[in-house]
Amino acid sequence: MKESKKMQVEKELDEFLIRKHYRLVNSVLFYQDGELLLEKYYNKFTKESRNNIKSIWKSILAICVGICIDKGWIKSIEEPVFHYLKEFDGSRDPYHKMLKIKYLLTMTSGIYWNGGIHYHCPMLAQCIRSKDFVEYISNIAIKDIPGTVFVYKEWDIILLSAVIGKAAGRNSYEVCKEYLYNPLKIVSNAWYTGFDGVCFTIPSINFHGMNAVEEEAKSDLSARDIAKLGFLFLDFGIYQGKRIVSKEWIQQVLTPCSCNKEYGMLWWLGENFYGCRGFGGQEMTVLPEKRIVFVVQATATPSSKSYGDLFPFVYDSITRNLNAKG
Amino acid sequence: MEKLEKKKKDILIKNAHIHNLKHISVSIPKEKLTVITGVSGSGKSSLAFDTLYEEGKRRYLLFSDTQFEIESEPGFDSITGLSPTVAVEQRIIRQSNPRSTVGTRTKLSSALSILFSNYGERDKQYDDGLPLSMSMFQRNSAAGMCASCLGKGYKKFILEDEIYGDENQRIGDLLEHGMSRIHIWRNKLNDYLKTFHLSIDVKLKDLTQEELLALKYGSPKTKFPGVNFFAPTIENTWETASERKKELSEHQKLFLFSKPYAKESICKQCGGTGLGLQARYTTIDGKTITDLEAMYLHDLWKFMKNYMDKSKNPIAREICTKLECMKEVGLSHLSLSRPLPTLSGGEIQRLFLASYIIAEMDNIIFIFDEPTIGLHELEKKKLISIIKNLVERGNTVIAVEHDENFMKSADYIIDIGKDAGIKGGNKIFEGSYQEFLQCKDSRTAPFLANKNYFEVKKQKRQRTEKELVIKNADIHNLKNITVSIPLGVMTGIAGVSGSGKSSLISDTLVPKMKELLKNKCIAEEWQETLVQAEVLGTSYIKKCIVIDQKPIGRSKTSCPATYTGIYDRIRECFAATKEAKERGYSIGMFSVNSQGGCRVCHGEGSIHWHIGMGNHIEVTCEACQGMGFLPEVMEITLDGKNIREILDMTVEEAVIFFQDKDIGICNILNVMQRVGMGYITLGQKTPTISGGESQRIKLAKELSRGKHDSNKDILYILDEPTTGLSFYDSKRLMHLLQELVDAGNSVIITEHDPYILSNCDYLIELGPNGGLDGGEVIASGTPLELKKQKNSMIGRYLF
Repeated sequence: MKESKKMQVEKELDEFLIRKHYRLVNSVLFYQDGELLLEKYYNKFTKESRNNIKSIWKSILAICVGICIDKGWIKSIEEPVFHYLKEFDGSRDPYHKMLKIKYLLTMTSGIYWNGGIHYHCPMLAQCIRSKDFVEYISNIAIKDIPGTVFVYKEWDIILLSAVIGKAAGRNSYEVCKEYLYNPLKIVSNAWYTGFDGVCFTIPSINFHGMNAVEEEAKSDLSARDIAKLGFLFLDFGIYQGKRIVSKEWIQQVLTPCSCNKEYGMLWWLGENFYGCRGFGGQEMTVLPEKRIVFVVQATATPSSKSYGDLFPFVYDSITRNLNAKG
Repeated sequence: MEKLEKKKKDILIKNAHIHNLKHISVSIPKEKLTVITGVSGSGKSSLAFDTLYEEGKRRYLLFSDTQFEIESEPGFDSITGLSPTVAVEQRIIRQSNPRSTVGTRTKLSSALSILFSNYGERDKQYDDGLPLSMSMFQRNSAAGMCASCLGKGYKKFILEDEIYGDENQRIGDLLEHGMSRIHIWRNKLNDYLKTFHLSIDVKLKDLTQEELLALKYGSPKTKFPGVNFFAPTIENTWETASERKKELSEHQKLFLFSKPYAKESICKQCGGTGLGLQARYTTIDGKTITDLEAMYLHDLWKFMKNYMDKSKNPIAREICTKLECMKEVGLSHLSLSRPLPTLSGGEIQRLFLASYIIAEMDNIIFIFDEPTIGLHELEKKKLISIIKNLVERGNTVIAVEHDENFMKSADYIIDIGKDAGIKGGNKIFEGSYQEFLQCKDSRTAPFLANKNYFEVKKQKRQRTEKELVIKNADIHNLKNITVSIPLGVMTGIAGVSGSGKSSLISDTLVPKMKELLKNKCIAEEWQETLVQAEVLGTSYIKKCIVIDQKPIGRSKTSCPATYTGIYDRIRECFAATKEAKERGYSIGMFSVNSQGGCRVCHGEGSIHWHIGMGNHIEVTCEACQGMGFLPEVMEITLDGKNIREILDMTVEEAVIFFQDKDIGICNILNVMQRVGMGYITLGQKTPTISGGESQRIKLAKELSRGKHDSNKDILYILDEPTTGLSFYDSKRLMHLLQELVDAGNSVIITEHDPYILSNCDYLIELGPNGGLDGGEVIASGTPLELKKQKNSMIGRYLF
């Protein structure tokens, strides 16, 4: 009985995607109370298939920072960045002295950024070609007083990855692998690592025999693995009975930052949900009160598509077909 | 009238009555060169631009479907014989983007970027094997700009030691003088003090690290942006709020203006190129794109020609063709990196002209606005032949001009006059140049018919031992020259475009004077530059006043009345009327920038619509009917005139109006009249004021200051002050300058006009040519001596 209702949901989803011309959607997952109510793949994807995570990586790094704090490698997010990256000691720009780890987590470093059309990041290529990410970013003009203006950008996350690397004595992937991916049984390859040893999963340009698409694919995750991050947050840092990161950190990450009410620390926030978002329609949404975890994966194209109407549609379909008493 | 209609090949304008035009009808022959002349403000531009061009543009846009029709009352009855019309007005360019340069405007920078990205040689050390893209060579593109200076090539540095060096300073010492006097800043400062529980008397050394950082750089905890935030703008802020400057105590002035708190230096990251790493290390024949953009066009052409001959590169060929045209029209002294807003009106005209030549079109009506401005006699000849070529090809050229040789070359002359403003707007003459010479009513014809009409002062002042010596000037193309400029006389600096006149005066002498005389040297917007040259003899000078061609005021609503300060007095007059007092209107009600301004158009009187392709159309604001003021403000009158009517008065009219009302206003207006600005309206908007006019308004403002007997030993530095003036007005301005010198002052003029140069006591000529072939003194002496010197290029044109 339930199976036929599930099939009805899948059928409605198929029709919806066709009607909306959402041909690039690869995976749609819907969990409630840990039960998988919808799992549908397209374009030859399976439950083992891995898809680009894009900026979901940012949300993953936020968990890594929490782990570093739990281990004592980072004392506090109030610490100045120059404790870890000497390039930011103020000799290049006096405003660097005010730059705290917290501001990297809230996209408020104040470093100049031009995201370009459809977030094509025209400035990023220069940075990657420079071979030394931190050195390059430390020479970029400061536009806003650190901590005062929210500007979504790549610089802050690159610096954060570098800070984790310096604090932990190993690169951010190694921290993530040992303390997050392994315990959660998440399958991933080692992230792309720049010449200066800093991990950044979106190299974006082919470079010295390196193929950007292949390099980025190393950080790909399956839809089921991404959902695990949602479960981890639903249980405030515990996964299958094991403490991965402190409860306080999860709460801090989900507290709206003062410059953008819809952003915590590298996690997006809404009235009754929180989640991760990535370029081209990557989405993981958690509704804590209803204990729902929802995942969308899609093939990213230059036009920066997102599928904001997918969740309301699936939620409605499941409520009608599965939760209806009778 | 009937006679006019018979000529089919004419453009006929019937009953033109816009602005001050007195219902005139003219016929302009097609495929001919027509010059419209007349004294400044007589209505030449109203006829050429506001009637003919506006209508030509409107019809063209209508038929090409690029624009909807805007209903407005036409300023004429009919115009027949129109073809597509192209015009270059001086005023358009004065509002352009500061980042646009000669290179971006002509698209030559893009062509060079393509050339470099495809054919550039890359330095092995920095060659990362990845392809180069065109945008990597463009400093305005996010992909190409140096991220440190964001493509500007220079950075502002705050001199923290100067500001915070003294640890025993109170917070108040640091801030009370500057920012705390401005209301919103005061609030922000209070917010800082409250946040950190501090009093204004706490000394810097007693602050915690966090408190000090927040004081310097601001903090998310407080709305206070930090002292560094406003340090670079201290001077500017107070300069613009010049009224308040009066309120400052001596101590405060010392703190604010005695030393700089910020300096601009070349960006260390990109070495001033404004470009990223790859672009800095890619060359063509050993030169980077920055090197090429800095070259004089003449030198760049030689370089590109050489490269093209070698490589047969098609892009290089395109670039060469374009450069040749630009050379032809007398622009070889410019470089591609030159910012557009720093070009003179004449240079802009010729820049556009160059692109028309390339287009090789016919049957177009071209309208130019004094295209010969800033050209040496030799260059004028060339320009005239180019314009004649356009005509021969089948185009119609109409030029508003004052230049004698240009008029001589014209097929047809139209004279508008007789005088300016309400005394102008009549058609005085229409016909050939020869007939024009006989025209007795024209203000211009007598000067052309009789050379002596423009008197040349035969008696020259003698040089004394007092002189200014500029030693070892080597900036730009100057060849390490030493020049002595006699004081107590009028000295003219001559030379072809790009010969080094501006390098010597604006880029060497002026910065040096500013450095040596400090606040005794009055010059605008001055950037610290490293000038190697030495200047001797400044002890003879009490004060130095530099009057340049930069626009007056910064906002769109600034006008001669606001700039000269008479607007304040006019507002006071209005606020003092019985009616205003009864209604409780303060002076703020009589300003468009304050309470009195129309809410819809913000006092501009018009609303701008972008109609595509970079074209704009102005529509009168419906809310205020183009008045810019609230209707209730307009109800208050001063002697029967409301505030708008007064702003619409010309200086000449206003002198009479204010005669027995306000002596202060009259003084300033009288001087304005004497510098030849009698025709300008008090409320004329800054963007429509030409460079020459700005300069004369500034001159008037300086001259109306202070008591006259104490005004001795002042050095006035002027840059082509007669630009755009008719013979008649030039003559009046020269009289005034001569009087200044007679009163014991010195004047240095950079000039091309042979009449003005002939009236100088002493001349210094730079040359022989522009660019690398210039930068030397080729002749000096009295005008008579120059006439005899073989080396002199201007000598033969002097009187």
